[in-house]
Amino acid sequence: MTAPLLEIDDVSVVYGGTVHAVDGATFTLDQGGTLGLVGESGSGKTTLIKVVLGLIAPTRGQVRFDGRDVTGFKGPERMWFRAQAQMIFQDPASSLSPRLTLRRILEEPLVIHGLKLKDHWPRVLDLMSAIGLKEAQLDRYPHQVSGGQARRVGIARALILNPRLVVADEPTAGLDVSIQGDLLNLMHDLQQRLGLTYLMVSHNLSVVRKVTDSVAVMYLGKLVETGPTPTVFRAPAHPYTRALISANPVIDPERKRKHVILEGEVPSPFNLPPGCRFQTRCPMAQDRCRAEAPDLRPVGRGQNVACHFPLTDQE
Amino acid sequence: MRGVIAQIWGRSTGRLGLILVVLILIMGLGAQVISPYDPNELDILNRFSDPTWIHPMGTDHLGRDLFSRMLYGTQTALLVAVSTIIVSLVVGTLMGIGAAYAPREVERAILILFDIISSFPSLVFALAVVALLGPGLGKVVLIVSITLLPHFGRVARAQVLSLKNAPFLEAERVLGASRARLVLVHIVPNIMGPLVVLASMDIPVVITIEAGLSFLGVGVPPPLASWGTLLNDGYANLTETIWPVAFAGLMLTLATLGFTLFGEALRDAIDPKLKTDR
Amino acid sequence: MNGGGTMTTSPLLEVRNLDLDYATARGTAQVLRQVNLTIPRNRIVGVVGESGSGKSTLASVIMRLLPPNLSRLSGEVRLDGTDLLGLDPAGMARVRGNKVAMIFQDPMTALNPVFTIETQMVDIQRGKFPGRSKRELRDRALEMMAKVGIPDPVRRIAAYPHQFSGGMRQRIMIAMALLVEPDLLIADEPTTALDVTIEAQIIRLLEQIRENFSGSILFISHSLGVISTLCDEVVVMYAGSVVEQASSRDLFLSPRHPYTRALLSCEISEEDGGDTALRSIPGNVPDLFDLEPACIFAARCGQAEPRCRQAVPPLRELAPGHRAACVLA
Repeated sequence: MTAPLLEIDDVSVVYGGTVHAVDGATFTLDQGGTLGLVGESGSGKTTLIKVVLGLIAPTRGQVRFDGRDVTGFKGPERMWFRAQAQMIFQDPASSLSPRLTLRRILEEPLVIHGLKLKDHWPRVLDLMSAIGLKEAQLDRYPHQVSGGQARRVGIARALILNPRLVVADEPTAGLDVSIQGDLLNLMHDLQQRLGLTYLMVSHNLSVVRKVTDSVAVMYLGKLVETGPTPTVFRAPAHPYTRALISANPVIDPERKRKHVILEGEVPSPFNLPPGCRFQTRCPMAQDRCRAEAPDLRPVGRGQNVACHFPLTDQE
Repeated sequence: MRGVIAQIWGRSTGRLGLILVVLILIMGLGAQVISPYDPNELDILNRFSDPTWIHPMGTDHLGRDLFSRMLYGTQTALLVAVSTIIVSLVVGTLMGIGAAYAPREVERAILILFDIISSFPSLVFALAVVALLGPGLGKVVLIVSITLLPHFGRVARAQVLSLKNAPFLEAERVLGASRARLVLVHIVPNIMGPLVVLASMDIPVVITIEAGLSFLGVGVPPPLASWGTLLNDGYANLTETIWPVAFAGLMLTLATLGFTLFGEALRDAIDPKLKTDR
Repeated sequence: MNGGGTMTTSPLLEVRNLDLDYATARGTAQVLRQVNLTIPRNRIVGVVGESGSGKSTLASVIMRLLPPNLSRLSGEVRLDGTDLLGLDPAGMARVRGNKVAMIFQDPMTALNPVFTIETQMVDIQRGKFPGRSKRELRDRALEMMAKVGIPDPVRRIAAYPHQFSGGMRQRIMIAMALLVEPDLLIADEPTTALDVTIEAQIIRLLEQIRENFSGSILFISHSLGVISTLCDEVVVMYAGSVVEQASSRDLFLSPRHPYTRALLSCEISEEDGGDTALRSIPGNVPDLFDLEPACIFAARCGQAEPRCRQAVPPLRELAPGHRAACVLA
């Protein structure tokens, strides 16, 4: 058993002294694995991935990459980490500098890291052909290419520095179903070929179920459940996870599942109730939930859940 | 670039503006070549001449050739306008970008400074400074560029703020780009459009301020020709001849009209909202 | 109003041979071609399609909210027998505030940010109920707000649109649409911008509403799952054409058009293991310029034969209520 590539250890991000955008998040991600980070808007997913990438310093806690504290990186160490951890953006077109040609955009990683174009460009071309980009397209500007091409440029840029960790923020958002498979297959191939580790943020539970091997569910800044994907989807232990899975609409008319529909909406992070953050919408909240905030704790089969009364298998 | 010019040419006001601007540029830049006389050469016997084939715009009270003086006045106006705008554009933009990235207190201080500058009537401010330091071309440039700083600074700041959290900048940060690289390679090219438009619209403002200061005798010092001093000389001798006032006024009018029309056409041509529709 | 007495079996809305072109810088884009569809009374009909399928344009045609670069519009859109395309603007305005209402993906585009919800909910009813007092209209609004699940309506009615969450705004839009008791409610991707648990709430709300709603709903979505959950009938559109229409059950259990089948196979199902590659439809959605007289899907269809490229296949009835535009189906 090797040490995990990424360890998130009790990370909190507090804005303005009171708003807990992320509160005590803890999980690990093994080399070569794919972790799905799931949650609705306002859950803190975006803040958490920025912490992972070292763009935001956590108020408390540590992010360790390869055993080293990400927040302490300075100078050359920081640049090393910048090459090791990359990101694929949700909206590919707006993640490309609009006044640069695609060629310049793909040269950026090399220029920033002081690498000679001459020595490294052949490798970029190899990568491009694996991704399905042609050099002839590179003299265009981002607004002159299709969304699919912009997406591929974004992926190529993220991989040029040979990262080990790739954070993918909603990689399939806005994609038609008929082409989403292409992208996910490509990401899978690249993972196999380059030994990548993925941290994938997605609200699409079908995608998460299919492509991740572990999953972390966030609600209002807290991780409410983590565990192996098949286990969590088969037997969610947190009532929120169960509701989330059941809210994902099923196509097959013969397998309409019983919906657990959550009442109410996510409360404002500015005035959280004492106790469990999910209590206002939880169908099974009890007195203890209103008094005491549950911590993430193991419930077997590799699952961790932050609930006083976790669901057991088959209800 | 070619597309922008074509768009300006495509509308009648833009075309008029472009023609006037090019004409004025030719007059100003080519003054040394075009002018038939030394602008300071006196010909007392021939003073107050009406326009003739020898003196196309006539002569002034010292018998100097008005056409030559007008060409050199154009050169002065352009020199003052361009250097003022460049100083103001560069310093203002840097202050604006600085404000957008600075800690809150510094940002507030810069904004208050902008408010103070723009609350001063620029002509009064200029008069005060000249009264204190004496007249001079460099001082005119300095004064006017300070009064224009808030224009560029505010627009630059607003542009940077709207871009600051753009995903493409975040992508560069993830790659490890330094802040200087973010600003110079990625932000500046994206905010230049509106600033260039603003600069071209400010040119007529600078030209009028320079002419006004010179008219009042606190701008460009004699014997340098300026539309303002030409107007003033002509005004003093209006009983003898109207031509100096008429031609200097005409030049001033054509220059402000030309640059204004050109600036408006330029704005419409590179307005980002119109551009994305194509 | 609720049509209980008149036992009409004629459909509520019939779209016949609808063609629509836009003039663009690149030429004429044939955005809708020979669109035919029928919306029966008191049904929820889903229109599903990917980007560029023309499903939202279809809604715009029914509402007659069309952009200025429209260069051709022919065919019929009959609501209760009246051809909407033949109405003058005043007549169409009466239909809009009265017989047809629409809700959008982004409610903020339809709500005026400077007026309170009360003002907007009262105003929308004036066309339909000119005789009623403001007080009556307000009471109806409050009642409807409670019905669509907005808590504390008496207090919330005085708020402005931006003071509501996305889910609540969509509920307000639904309430406003229902206040005019339309015969047809068009919902254009109403849950796309919402989180999944809120989406589930809105879908349940629409299911509850239909029990007391005498009209029909035209529900436009790219999500097969949402359509399958909510709709009685489904229309599948591809690149400006209707390729299949059937009852929801028939369509999802025995799809006949190759595009529908391909689309369904792209969806990730619960059986998909971690190692199987995902499916996709090869190629791209065709440009809508200079279209050949051929099946619009032929270029990407795995089963295409020469005859598929020789003529546009018409929508054929394959079984009662099940139609597909494919010569092979």
